Amino acid sequence: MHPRHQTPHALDTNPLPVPQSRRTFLVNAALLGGATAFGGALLAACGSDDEESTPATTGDTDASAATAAPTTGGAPASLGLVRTAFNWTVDVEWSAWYLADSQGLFAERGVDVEFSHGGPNTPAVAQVLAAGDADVGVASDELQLIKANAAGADFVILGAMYQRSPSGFCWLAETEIAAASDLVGKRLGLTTGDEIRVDALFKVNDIEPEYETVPMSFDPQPLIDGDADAITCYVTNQPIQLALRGIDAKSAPFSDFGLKAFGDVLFASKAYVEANRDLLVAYFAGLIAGVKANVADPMAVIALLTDVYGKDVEIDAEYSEAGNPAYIALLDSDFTAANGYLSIDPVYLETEVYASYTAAGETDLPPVSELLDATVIADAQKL
Amino acid sequence: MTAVAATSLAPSPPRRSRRRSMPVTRFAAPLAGVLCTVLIWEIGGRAGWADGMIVTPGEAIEPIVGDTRELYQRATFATIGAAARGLVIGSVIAFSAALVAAGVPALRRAISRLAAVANAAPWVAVAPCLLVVLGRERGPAAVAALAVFFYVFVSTTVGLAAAPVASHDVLTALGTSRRRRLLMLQVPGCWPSVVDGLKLAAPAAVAGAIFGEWYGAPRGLGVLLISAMQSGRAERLWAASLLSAACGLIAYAVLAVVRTAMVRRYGASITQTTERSLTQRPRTATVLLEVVTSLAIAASLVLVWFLWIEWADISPLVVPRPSTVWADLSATPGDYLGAAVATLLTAAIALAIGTTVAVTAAIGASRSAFLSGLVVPVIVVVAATPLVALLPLLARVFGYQPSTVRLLAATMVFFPVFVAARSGLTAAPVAAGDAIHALGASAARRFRLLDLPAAVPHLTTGLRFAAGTAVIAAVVGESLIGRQGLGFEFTLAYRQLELPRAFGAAIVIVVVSVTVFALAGIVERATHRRWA
Repeated sequence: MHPRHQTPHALDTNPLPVPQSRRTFLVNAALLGGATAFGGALLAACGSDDEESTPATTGDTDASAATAAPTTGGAPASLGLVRTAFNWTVDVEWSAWYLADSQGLFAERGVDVEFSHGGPNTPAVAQVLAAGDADVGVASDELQLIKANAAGADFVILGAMYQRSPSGFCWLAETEIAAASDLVGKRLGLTTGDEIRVDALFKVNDIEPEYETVPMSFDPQPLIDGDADAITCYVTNQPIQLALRGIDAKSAPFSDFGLKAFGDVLFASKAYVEANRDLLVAYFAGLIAGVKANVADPMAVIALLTDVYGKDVEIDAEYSEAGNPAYIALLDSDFTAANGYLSIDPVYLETEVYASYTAAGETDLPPVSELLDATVIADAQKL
Repeated sequence: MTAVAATSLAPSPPRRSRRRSMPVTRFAAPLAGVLCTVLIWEIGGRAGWADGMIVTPGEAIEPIVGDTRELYQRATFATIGAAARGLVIGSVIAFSAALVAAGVPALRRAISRLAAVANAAPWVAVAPCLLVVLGRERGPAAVAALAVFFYVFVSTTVGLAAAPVASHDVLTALGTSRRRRLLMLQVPGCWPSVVDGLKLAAPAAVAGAIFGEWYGAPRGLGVLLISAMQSGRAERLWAASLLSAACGLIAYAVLAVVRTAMVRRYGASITQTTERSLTQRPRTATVLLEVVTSLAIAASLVLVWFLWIEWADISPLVVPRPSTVWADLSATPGDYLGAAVATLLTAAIALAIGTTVAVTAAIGASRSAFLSGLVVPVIVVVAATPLVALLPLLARVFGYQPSTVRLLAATMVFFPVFVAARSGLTAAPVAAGDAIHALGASAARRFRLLDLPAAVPHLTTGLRFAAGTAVIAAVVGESLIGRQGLGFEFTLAYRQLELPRAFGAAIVIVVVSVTVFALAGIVERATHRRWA
């Protein structure tokens, strides 16, 4: 209890004596100033959010300024906007898209595009689409989509950029690895979640999984240090990076070890496909043209990567020049020779790829006819 | 102790330095220490320590000032912009929440609990939800706002309670309403404390913005960190990390200057408030009320979660239904329990290591100016470097092993304990120090009898923060490079799109973190009763 003091002038004092009111005024002014600052900051935040456009929009502006506007031939009225979500950062892996965008191959078919990239922490592309932030997604493998559909999504695979997934193993040249049996007992550098695929690799070869896990992140240091005999990688990435640093490394995709999968699977939700079929056909026609442009001139995309799409990501031009041919090599198969780029062979999907997933312990794989809709890309080939 | 503190009064804050020496000589020793550190760095870089991971200062700076400087400038502005937006938004929300809590006593407990939950929620789990609601471009600013919230909320609450009881009584006797008392008395007096909180919040905003950029932002220091990690070029990693630390440090320095000006103007001190609010022994009724409030908050959060999913039609791929999460939690409690134990163990080890090193460093720094100069800049830079920047450096040097996770968590624990110990060691009232000196005690005796006991309350407050931080740091480390524990469970489940398991893990993380924080609070209150 504290003694209450009687103020000298008791209760007939003006409740707001002059010194006090000045203080109140200052406090009110401060609050008002704070509110204004807050409001201003909010406005600034909203304003600058609009400025933070995705690279594609910037690229679009730069590209359409750079290339002659294809309006002389009577470019069709815009069919709509397709937002594509990639599963990694700006990289030479997406060359076909960048080329198609900058050379106007999308625009001349009436398609506006926006690209959003991923990264180590990004939500899975399936989640990005489920949240409504993109229309077409690029998934690293089919399993993500199968699981997503099991959780209530309605995704459908439309095609695949690469006929063989670039996921694979990388090892130093001195190490002898030629088949799955050579992996038994080895120390394998894996990132979180890789174990399932490695186990599947053993099982699809009828070998009991037996190896030592060496946890790692995205850089191949454990391999160089000798902490791991082999590491998981993209055969188009880490081995080339190592070679550029003067380290002799070998690699092989999981397909070579018997675990088949497509690479960079293209997908969208069934509802979206039904509502926007013409737009999608035009989009993929543009993309196929982009693939052909990349194959015709693998060096054309490098300048785009460093100066336009990747200008905020510090692209390694040396690696990109070496990586593009490696990705291009994954585009072809007997099926694409007959049916065009991006197309998926449903028989291969059912017999080979599904077998791999079954070996991984996956049950309840949906029928291929439900998971795959090859008609969109088949129509795109004709455009 | 209480009596001494009361007599020394608070018209002016306690003098920090008791040695009155010429400015030049005062700076000479610390400066020598700094130069020594830089020299060691240069030697290490030339020698290529840690497989070339350590580069010389020159090499580390080169990307920032060389050909790529425009890129780094753009990235820095993007990150600072997002951090600033997050700082403003988070501070305003936190300030408002604290005002409401102070002005409406019925809501105070609920708001405090909610703030604690917000603080305990791991960014790795919350950020995706934020991105769903706000969109990807606002991600970095949103995570920055989240990072800032708790600092500003706590410091505002403390500041609003800083007015002396006597002043409250005067105004109440004069017939002022609670709201008027709040605006006329408490708010003007809270600014030094708020700025104190902002001082810590600003570097956190930078760290939050950088973390948010890992979720797919088009540009920023976080984006540069990713490409630096992928390219394996050590100097790029250093450049981006140093820039990140610099941003945090500059923000801290600016606000420290503001704070000094504030203290000169308002002169409030913090020790008074801790006396008032922390010495009350909790009664059974209070404890029961706490428990009931926590349960009520948990229930309402679940309700909000459910309603949000239904109303906004969120896909189960992005946020799972509460029922599915509960099903997973109740079906496999053993998994969660095992993971929780692993995380707590990591956190405990990290806390032990971090505290020991921090207290030793603080004692050393307070005794020797040279040591201070040697150690403090490094500590400050490391503390200002965001976790996502520290990780690649630490992992390269020490490997991707469980011990690195503990080390990472320990470095996060280090800073709050170090700061608390430092301020604690200078917290002994001047009058008591003079008294002991007059009685002829040696420096060592004085240290044992006065400085250490005076530091204990500050230390336990610092430990309280550190304990909560240790859990979160352990979780983040596990999610990035771990092989077990709640963070690992979360990341694994999330990567495989097993959302119920991922959210279950996130909820357990929050519960564990809040519990640890509460337990540490009990320890803190007990120590304050005894030592303050």
